[in-house]
Amino acid sequence: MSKLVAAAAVRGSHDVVSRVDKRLTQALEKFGEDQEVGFPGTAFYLPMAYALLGAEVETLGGIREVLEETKTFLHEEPTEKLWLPYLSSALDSGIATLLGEEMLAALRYLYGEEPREGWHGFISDTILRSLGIQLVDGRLPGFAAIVGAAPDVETAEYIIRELQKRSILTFLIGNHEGQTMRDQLIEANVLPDDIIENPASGWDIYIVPLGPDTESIIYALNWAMRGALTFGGLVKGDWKGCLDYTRAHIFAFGLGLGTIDDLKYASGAGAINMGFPVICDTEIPEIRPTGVCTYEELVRELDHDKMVQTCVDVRGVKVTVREVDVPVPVAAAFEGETVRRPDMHVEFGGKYSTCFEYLTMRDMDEVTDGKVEVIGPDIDTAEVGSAMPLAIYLEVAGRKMQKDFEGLLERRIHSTANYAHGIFHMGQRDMAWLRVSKDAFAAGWRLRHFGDVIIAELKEEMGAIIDKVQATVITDEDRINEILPQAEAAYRERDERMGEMTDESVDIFYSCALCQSYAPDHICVISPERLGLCGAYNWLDGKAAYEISPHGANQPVEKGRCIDATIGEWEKINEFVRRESHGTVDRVSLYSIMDAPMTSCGCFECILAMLPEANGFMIVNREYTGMTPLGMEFSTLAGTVGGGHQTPGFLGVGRRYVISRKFISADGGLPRLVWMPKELKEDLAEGLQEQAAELSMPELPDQIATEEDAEAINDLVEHLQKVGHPALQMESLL
Amino acid sequence: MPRVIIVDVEKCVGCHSCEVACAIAHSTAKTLVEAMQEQPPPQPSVAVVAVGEAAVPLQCRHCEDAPCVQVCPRDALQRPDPEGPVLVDHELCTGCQACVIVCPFGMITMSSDGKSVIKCDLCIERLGRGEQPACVEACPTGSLQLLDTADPAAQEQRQAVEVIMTAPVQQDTPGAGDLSAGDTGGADGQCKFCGELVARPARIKRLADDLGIDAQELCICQKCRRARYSQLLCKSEAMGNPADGRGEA
Amino acid sequence: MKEPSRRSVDSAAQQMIARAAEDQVDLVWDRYEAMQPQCGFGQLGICCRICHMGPCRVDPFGDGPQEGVCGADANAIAARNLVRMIAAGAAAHSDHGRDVALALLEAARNPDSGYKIRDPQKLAVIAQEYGLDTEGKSVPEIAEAVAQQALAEFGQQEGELKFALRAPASRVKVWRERGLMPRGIDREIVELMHQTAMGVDADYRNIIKQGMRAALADGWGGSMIATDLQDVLFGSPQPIRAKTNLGVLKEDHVNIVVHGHEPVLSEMIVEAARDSELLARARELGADGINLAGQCCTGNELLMRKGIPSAGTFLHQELAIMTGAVDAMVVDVQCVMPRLAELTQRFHTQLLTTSRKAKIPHVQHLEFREGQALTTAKEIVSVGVENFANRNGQRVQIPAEQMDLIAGFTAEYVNTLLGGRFRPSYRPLNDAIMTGRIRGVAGVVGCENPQVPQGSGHIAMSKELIKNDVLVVVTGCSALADARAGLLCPEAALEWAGEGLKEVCEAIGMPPVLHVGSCVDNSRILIACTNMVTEGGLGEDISDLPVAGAAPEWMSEKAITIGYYVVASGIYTVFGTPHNVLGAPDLHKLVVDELEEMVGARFDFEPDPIKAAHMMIAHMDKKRAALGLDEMMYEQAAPVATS
Repeated sequence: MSKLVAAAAVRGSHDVVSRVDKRLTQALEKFGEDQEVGFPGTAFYLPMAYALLGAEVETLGGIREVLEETKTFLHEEPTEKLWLPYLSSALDSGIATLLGEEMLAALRYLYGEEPREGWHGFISDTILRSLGIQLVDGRLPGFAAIVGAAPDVETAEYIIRELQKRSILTFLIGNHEGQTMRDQLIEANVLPDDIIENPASGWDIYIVPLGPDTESIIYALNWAMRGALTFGGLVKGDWKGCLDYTRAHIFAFGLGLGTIDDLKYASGAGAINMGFPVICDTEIPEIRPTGVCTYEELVRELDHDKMVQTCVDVRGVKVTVREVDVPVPVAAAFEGETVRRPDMHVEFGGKYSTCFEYLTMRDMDEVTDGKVEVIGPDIDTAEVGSAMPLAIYLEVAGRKMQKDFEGLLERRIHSTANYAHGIFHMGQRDMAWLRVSKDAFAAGWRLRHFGDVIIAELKEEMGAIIDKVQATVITDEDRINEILPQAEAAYRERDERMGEMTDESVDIFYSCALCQSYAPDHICVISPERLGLCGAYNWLDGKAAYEISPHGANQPVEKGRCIDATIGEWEKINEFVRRESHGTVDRVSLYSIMDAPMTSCGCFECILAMLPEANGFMIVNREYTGMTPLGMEFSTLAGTVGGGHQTPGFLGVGRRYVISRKFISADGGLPRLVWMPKELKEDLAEGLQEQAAELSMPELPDQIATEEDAEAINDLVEHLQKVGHPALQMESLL
Repeated sequence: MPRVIIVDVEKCVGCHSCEVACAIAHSTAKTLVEAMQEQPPPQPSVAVVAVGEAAVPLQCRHCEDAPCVQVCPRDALQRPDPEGPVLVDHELCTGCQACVIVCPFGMITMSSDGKSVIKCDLCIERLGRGEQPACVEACPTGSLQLLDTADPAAQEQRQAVEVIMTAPVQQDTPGAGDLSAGDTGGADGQCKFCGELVARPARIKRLADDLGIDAQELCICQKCRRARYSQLLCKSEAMGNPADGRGEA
Repeated sequence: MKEPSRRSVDSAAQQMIARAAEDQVDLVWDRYEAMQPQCGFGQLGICCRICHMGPCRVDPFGDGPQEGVCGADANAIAARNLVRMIAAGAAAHSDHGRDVALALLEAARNPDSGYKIRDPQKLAVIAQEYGLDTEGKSVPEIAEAVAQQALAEFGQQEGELKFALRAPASRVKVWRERGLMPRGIDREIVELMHQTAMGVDADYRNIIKQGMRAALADGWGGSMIATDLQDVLFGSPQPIRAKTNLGVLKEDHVNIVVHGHEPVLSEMIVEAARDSELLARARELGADGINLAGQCCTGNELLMRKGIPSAGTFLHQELAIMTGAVDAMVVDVQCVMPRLAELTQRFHTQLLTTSRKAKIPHVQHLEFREGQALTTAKEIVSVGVENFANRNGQRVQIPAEQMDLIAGFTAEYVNTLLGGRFRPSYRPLNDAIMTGRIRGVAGVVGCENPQVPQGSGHIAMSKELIKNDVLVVVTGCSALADARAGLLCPEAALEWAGEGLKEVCEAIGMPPVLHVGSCVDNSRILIACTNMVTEGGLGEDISDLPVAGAAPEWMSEKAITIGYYVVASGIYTVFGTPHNVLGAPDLHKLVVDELEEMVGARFDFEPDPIKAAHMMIAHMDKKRAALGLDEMMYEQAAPVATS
């Protein structure tokens, strides 16, 4: 019965806390109170302690304080007879365990014992933010934490494939009698051998080995907790808000494989506090009444065939398993797979052959829905490891289809082709690059399956605007050369159209409330010249999404009377934002960072921040892990921007906003930009040149500093003076 | 030995508990709560009437030579046990009211549905179980007692009451006619005290003939009969307790 | 009826009843029998003594008068009588609340009072609710302001009682629309007395309406103030182990029994009983120590907060004396039988009255003085200790029975119970109801009454309910009756609960019957119901919830008051024996039928506890159906009602 679970959790928590106590005492003796401690790549200190207790632990002294408070959550084991209520004791013990495990991990980092070789260890804030959009758009419907190991390699592979099929991100934690799931999956060839050298590569295939002992579950859980702090706009110490958030918004669950010992029970009790149920494959007592979790809390599923489905049911994860009639599984979890040369059967494009994708709109009677035609030799004729030319030519028709949507639909080829297990896709248009793995080929993958999988996915996702799709997959050189010029002309035409489109040329902008499932008060307004801060949605995407789903997250917003053209403020936009932000935001400007700037959810690509000393702004992208002239890393800075708050002087933006004509135009525009990471500058180089040319400041891109020029503010100002950056001459920002 | 309920008028406080208890005892359910819900409601066959400031509970005397038994055309009123009470067979009773007219004490009443008459059965069921009649048990002051007819107290009250036919009636009784006003004749079948119609004169005559009495004797309404009966009980009480002059007042 | 087993289902009580018979001592049951048969007019509610034209009574069966001298008919007469019971009950609870508020005031102002504020968090919550500025104020300052504000609620003339606004918005709306919103605690009681004075209100509906208003002024006013301020002053209860029944009395200890209803003095007696000088004196006299035991609701108050053992319920008060082991019985107010005076004289027991409101002729009175609470308490304990010397060992006969129990559940603690420190919520309870693990929640409360074998109604009803997956909450004598039967042990869930309730109890580690306190603590049930509504998924109003109340063995006026505030709060309620309304057909129809239309709930009267439980179950099923909830998850013991 549950009393056994409660007793185990209570014992487990006492054990962890006493271990922290011992380890901390040693550390204090060795390093002293003021020794700095912390995890790499987070702005949230020890995130669990930060969220639940409001503690900003920076030193061993800080850990000592958290430990003292943690001890108050310890309970006595329930008695044999006439027991006092024990669910509350078990849950409190769970919290004590999580805090304890986090302190242990922090101490291990201090001693340089983490991450263990071949294991990922702590998960940075950056990874969380970059996964933001996948979380909200359903591509990543849930998270699994596997604790322990499967009884055999086959079962391990079966379970993980079932999870992958549902696009569930899986963390591998702990062991069962020394056996780890990671090693089982390497043996099953699910994980590549080099996962040991580069555990982070697991992110691409949705399988991340965190650590070989149960305590490593804290990495998954304090990462999930940061979801509440990052996207939920919740502040430190708001334990109730944070735990309500994880329960409501983060679809995680635990799978206990193998023996469940006290520590696993205690850690599970911690997970249950967060609303994450635990499903075990051994004879454990169940806790089926619901309420702490959305559904059951602790469930037994002895049948491994049913286990993943049971998990999904118990957590209430909304999963759609894609049923496409192709020889390999298709799921978002396979999107990040790479096919390395030794595993490759054939490739198309890259620098080895001509390869392009082209989608065009036709009349309804010109398209035969579902038709796939292959022109040219199939891949069974190819020499293993060789390259072939390829054109994927799609013709679509639909009553709601518009010429403007062609590019949008064409870009979907990238992800849909990638969803197929064993297929690798990169780039777009005539820069596309595809590979087919040996396994996929062996499974029966042929050229027509590109057509099948793309048609199925397009119809699935864009069915509201397209009624018919036909695909022609061409490897015949002559035909390729015949169609290529048409495609290139179309690409040019689209670019020109988009280039002409300005905020003034339209009356309607689009909103994006996709992130409201994570950041309830945040609302994006997307205009032709300002894309969404996540970088994933531009104005056309918004327009198409509205056509696809008229009651969805993207709604047309009439601009209404212009209040201030300079800062980009319109009457009806304000009204809309006020309503959709539930009254938390009164007015919003599109072109200013200083006056009523837009709010941010948390999954912004970049942060724009004021540097008063330089009389300008810096921008930093989330991939940049170094220090910025503001004295903060991206992760720390991000904490001040997210959660749906308006913060003048700070703004979350999409990368390509930098090269828009409307880039903070109210505050001086591009000439105000004084610093950006080198990688970002190179990525945007072309656009920066164009904008600079338009401003008649051709030297501007070179004047913008990077980390190579300066990392500290004083150095930066000196550098700007040296290169004569225009910001220094502009009107004072303050 | 026959038994009879005698009344200690001195002790009656007029609480009417005997009436309630009687109704319950003659209900189907036999409990107060459920009896309240019964349709038709159970009726009591004991009545507390006021005599001046005093209250007197009245019930059937179970007369030795009962006029009601004599006049019943269907033999619905019988004394099955020579030593027991006079009982109504509700199956046989047609509600003709002959017994009601002839009862010297006014202690036979119509049931609320008019199908039968109701009278005291001395709680024969309860007696069979060795219990006291409901009214006796319910009386909080012990005013009512079930006594053997041989008991001196019973005999005394009996004798006093038996002079009913000749005793002069004097006292005012609320609700009844002025008994002191004397005989008004009753020629039209009206109560000779209050003028209330008792029955058609022809019916009164026939019943009087059956009983071998003067028709005038039947020309008293039920209320006035009860009033006379209660006064008589007070008298008998007063005779038993000469110190208390209330009966003479 | 003389057999002990027909007087009580408790074997300890039976032993003492038998002993009384041997000793030719009259007990409450004997006096009850002597009183038989009882006045039918009184039972039916149709005698009127309001003015001196009467007494009047209408004839329930015969063709006697159908109205009083003034012309008031049975409905008006019975309604007036009934609501005057409400007034008395509300006055009793509320005056208790007032005393607690005064004690809080004393605690705040007088550092030497002996009182401490043990739950400053709850104090802060109440202060906020009262709209008091607490910024920078000390705990005693806040306590003083809260006490004054609470006292002002009694004398308030206009407006609405603050705590009544705790109810769900739709309930408050019902009260406002129907003119039931209580304005001031004393005002509603006074107005009710005026309204029912000679020649005032003759409309039974209007009379009942004000009756409900006064009852609400108790449930959401006086009683709630009593509960909340007691929590502030003496600490909010948390689950705690304790024991009950006569076996808690100790042969080798000085036994002091505190009996009545208020913890204000008895909390101090708890401290006094630990006084080292008094303990030394007790040992000097040959006792091993001082054993304090509670009785009735004073007992419940100490049980809930301190785990002080309880020597029993209302009908145990004479039986405790019968053990010959009670050296002092200390009484405060309410439910104290005056007969104790004579009974204690037959033993060595020293009876002490302590309230200026409750004296008994020829009984030693040691008046409780708020300013010197601890001193008074020590004097009282000292009387018991000294009296130990007079105990006749030969006459001591303590039944062995004592039962373990878990007490100490509150509306607030349910949050922690279900989710611990970090996930406090009613969600698991609402979920369990919504998914059909738990059918609903029943409050089985109320007194004991010699009309019913002691405890038979409470225990049978609670068992039948939990067997059918109904979570039961209990207060007062009902709680301790169930406790004696072992229903307040967590193990009871495994033995007696239905499959769904068992699953919930096992997951949480709680008994299937939860002790939520004394009879003023019925206010906790109101808050718990409100919290269920607030948590969501079970409707918008308390009247939407699948909950029911019951008082299977009621006797006190307070029970009537509780019944009316519970029904006026939207909870269907079954009383064992009926209210005194049966002589008034229209009034009877109003309370068992038409109230539903007015306040969303009504009464039923059913003496058979099993039948009554089934009526409650049928009601819950009706509400479940209206809410569109899932079918019950597991097969049910009782036939599911079809209507």
